[in-house]
Amino acid sequence: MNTKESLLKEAGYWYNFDRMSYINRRAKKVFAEETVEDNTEKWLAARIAEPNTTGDWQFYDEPAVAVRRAFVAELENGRAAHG
Amino acid sequence: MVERRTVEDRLRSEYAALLPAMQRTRTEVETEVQHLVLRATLGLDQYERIIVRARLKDCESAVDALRRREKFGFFDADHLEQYSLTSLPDLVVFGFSPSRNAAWKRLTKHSSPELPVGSPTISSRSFSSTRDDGIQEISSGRKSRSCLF
Repeated sequence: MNTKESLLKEAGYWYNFDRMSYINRRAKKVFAEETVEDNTEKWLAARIAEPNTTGDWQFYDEPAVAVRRAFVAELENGRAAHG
Repeated sequence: MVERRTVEDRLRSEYAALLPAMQRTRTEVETEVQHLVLRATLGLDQYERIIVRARLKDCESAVDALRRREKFGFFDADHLEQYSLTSLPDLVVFGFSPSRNAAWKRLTKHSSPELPVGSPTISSRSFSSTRDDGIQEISSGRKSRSCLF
């Protein structure tokens, strides 16, 4: 397991294979696998640490409107996230 | 109210439209490769084989493959038109594999210049032709045919 995966796992993120992303239901945050790969560990640690003040699901990177709508619906139905 | 067509529905429809061209391409490429390896095949010992296979990606696999290319694994339903199965590089693939090293040697010796068979290592990666052919018909922007082993 690489450092980025360790950071995410320790912070309570689970990898969702279908959505190719790391999800934390409690923090209501989603990191696309691609975004994790494209950024540094320092960037990732900072994004994990920052509080979600949106009151909604927070995505890194923000998806298109229709994608967000479908993803959030799936998250709210509990199908896409563990924990 | 009429229900909105999904990206998947549109792609399935595209698949149905592409299918005849895919089938023609499969037949064409398979026949052509069999022709190119014919001389090597005729010289094989009874326990040796050169297997030529072609396959079409099935509809749902193609749709799934396209979806997996998207970040978060969702199609953007607001932009149906940006998706096309022709962007997949492997709608039609073919491969050939000799059963033994001796068969590879025969292929190397007898193959046509159009079939760049050198060694198992090189040949097992890819084979491409620079001519326009049936693959281009179903895979826009690609001027070469590809093969997977």
